[in-house]
Amino acid sequence: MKKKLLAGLLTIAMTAAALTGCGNGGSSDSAQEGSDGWPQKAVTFVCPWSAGGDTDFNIRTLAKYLEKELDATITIVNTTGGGGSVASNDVKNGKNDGYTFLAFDSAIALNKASGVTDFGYEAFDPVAMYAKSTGELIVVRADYPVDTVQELVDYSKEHPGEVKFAANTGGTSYYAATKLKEAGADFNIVNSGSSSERVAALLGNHIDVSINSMGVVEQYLQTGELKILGNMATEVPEAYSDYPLVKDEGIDLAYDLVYNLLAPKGTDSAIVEKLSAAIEKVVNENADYAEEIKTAYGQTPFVVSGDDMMQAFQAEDDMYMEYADEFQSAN
Amino acid sequence: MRKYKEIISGGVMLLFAAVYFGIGMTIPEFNDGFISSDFMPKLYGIILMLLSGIQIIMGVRALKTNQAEDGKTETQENTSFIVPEVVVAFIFLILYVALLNVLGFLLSTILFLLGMVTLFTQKGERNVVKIVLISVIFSVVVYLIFAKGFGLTLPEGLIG
Amino acid sequence: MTSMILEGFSSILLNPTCLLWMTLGTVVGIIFGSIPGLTATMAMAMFIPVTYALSAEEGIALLLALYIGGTSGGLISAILLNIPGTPASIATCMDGRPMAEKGQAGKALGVGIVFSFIGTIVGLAALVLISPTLSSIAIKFGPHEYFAITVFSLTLIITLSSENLVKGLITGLLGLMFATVGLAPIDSTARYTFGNVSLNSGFNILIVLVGIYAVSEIIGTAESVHSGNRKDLSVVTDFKVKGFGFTMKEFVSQIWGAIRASAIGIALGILPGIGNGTSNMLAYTVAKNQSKHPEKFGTGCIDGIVASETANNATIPGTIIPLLTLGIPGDSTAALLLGALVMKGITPGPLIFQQNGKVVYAIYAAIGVSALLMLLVEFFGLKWFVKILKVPTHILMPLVFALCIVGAFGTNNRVFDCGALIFFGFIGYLLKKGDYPLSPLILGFVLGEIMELNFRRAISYSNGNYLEFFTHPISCVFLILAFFSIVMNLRSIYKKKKQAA
Repeated sequence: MKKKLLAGLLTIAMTAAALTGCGNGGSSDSAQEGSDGWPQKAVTFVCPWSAGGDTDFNIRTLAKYLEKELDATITIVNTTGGGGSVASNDVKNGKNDGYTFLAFDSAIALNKASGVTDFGYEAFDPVAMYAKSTGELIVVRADYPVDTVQELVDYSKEHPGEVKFAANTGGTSYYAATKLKEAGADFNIVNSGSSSERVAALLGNHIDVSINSMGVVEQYLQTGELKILGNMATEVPEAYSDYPLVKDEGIDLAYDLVYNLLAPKGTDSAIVEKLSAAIEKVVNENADYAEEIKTAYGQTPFVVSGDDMMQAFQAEDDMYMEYADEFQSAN
Repeated sequence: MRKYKEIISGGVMLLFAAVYFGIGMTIPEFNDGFISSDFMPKLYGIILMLLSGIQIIMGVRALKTNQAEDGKTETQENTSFIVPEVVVAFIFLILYVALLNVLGFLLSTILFLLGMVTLFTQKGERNVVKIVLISVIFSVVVYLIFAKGFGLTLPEGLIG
Repeated sequence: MTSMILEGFSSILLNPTCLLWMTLGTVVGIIFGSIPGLTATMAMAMFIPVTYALSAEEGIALLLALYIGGTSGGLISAILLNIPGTPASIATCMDGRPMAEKGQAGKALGVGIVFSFIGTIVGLAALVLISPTLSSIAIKFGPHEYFAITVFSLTLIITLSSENLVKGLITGLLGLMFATVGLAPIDSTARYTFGNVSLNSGFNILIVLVGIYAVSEIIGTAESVHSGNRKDLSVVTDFKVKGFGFTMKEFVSQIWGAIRASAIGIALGILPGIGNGTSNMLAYTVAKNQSKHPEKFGTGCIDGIVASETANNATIPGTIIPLLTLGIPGDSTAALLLGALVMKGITPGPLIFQQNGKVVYAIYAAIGVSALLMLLVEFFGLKWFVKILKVPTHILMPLVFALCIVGAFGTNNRVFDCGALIFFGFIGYLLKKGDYPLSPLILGFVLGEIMELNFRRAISYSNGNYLEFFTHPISCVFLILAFFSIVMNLRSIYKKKKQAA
């Protein structure tokens, strides 16, 4: 008698389990059929930097509007570490069923050039470059005895190894440091952690030069505690036209920090297309989105996809790979 | 066996430290004049080897001072070092995790709970119905609250 | 200015929707905090999308409620199950569990709850009154100083393991060693990863924590099944809990300890990079060190719980201080708050009062209200929490493990972490069998990376000049303190041994 009861209960249990569990399991199959049904469950964007930073802000803002556009739930997960390589490795090796994407930035090329990873954008199916930073800035304390980048380079020559320049392996800051070295600077290149940690270190007199984006330092410019020597972008951004470009001083240092979204290789191209189109629509047409990125970071809408995007990725890759040997030996 | 406990555990630590240090030697060193990533591991390895050495010595000393009282204490606790229930428990744990991606969270948890609770309940008290009910209801409730309610992702198996 | 204060306060206090959200946040936070493996940070990350639809003040208030509830919730499982719900409650286990075994679970919980509240309020006072001073102090801490503090904290391991010094040091060292697994700080060299990419980010503190404590507890239950002497706590919970379970006199006797612990909590909060995972243990060890009856610690005295819970809650406003005044989050959870604020167009920093004063006052109000809500919810839930102990251990433990798996998987969405959980459970089990103390391992693990990172940074900043550790005044002070801490502790251990002989 007991055995029958047991069997009966187990059957009910299994059925219940099957019904609740399989409802979800089934959908991941249909995604392979094409993008008609996509997305059927929550999509995850993995961000390699911690919350609060500029990449994180950009992807969260984009996701907010994409959710309405695609009628989907998008979850942002911050997986930090290894200069971004932990996240990029995770996504690269993970499922390519169209529900996980990597929300990175130009650092992907730098990771490859520095040897932090042995792959770059080519290991993924890029979806879009969906935003561009107003430019990374060379920041020093307001009372520091230099006012232009050239003066900084000269100053460092006069005090070799004394000027502490914060740069992270595998990051754009390292590229900046290398280029300046080419221009003759003699810095003591040190590691100072994340963007906000660098600002703290700068304020506290622990380092002398830091690379940051405007969002983090804006208020300090107003209080007069920090000053900007130059903007390393390739062109003057609308919002911050007062700050000189480093390249205008004649120094060969200019790069753009671009935020991108990448899919693991092998993701259904129909899904990539659909997502890419949705991103284009949001960036180009959504006024609220434009307003938000302007208020927070002074950014203007920017998006590149398709072939243009692949070319841009390659160009970025080439630019940084040029210094691959330099990066890896300096380590 | 008990009396050798200190020496054995010290020995295990020493071995671990040696292996850790050995692997540490393979960590690449960068010659920029500053401390590389191999420094701390090697340092830790050496310190642990020293400490485990001390533990072994202390164990040996304690052994010598206890030689006299040996005969009496040995017979008291006949419990072996590793108990069969513990081994089974570990096996259940490992199986549970191994099956997570195969069967999905819900099924694996139900099976795990069935096994584990049965293992833990004394033979006489095993009420099969109660165990099955608890396992199923708990797993389903947790699944519903966290996966559906909170939107936390839980392992989805091949079957569901 | 007054209008700003009024607006800020009223946006929280006079807003029923907000209060409702905060209550939900507190409850969810407490649930997440009490389940080993699930944390306040996870809960907050989940609710961020919810904040998009709310106003800035409401959104932040919700996140704060989750944060405060979540940090406090850890004490529930720490006391009842001997498994810290979050790293912030590790030290609470040390005296919480013995108290539960003595039949004083209600009292332990009551103490923990009340002093969590006090810690939050003291932290809030610091936030409101002296943030600028505290931030300017925080800024002065560079790598040399951080290194010195972590060294000092590590020497306190000696205090934690006064019963068996060598073993405590060994476990502490194991913690440091486990922390080296992964990509090294600064140059991201792979260490002990054996080519396995999943190990690149190293082990997650939660996995280590839950594995070492929870899984080994569960295996321990298996052992007791075999020997037949089950630890059945259901017997000792048949008692009435009056109020919070402890007397006014006891409360007063703990005030100094609470102030001291709050100070430690706030201090560690304002230093970016060190959070409440460390502050609770530091406060506990300092309390034990300075106590007139250190031997009582670990046997079930409320001083331990007071130190741990006051500190971990005081750290919360502590991490918000640099967040608001400098725009620099004190830890990864504060980073989430930063993210949420930026999404609302609010950039914290030195000009936050001018630009967004209303939000600042709303935050103050929200912290106060959350603390109160936490107190109330936990007070009313007190009797129910204790009822958990009535579930027979042999059923409770497997259920707890299933929840641990939920938490383990939730940290990074991969089964690898669940496997790591069992690995550490195995380690914890072996360590327990060998009579090694577990807490130094956690301390070593938590501090290992910070110490190494700052040590190497400091060396590179000073171009290889080791003397700079002593020429920097703050760093020098802490190193000297560390030295004295070692000496004093060794002396008292030596004295005890002599007495026993």
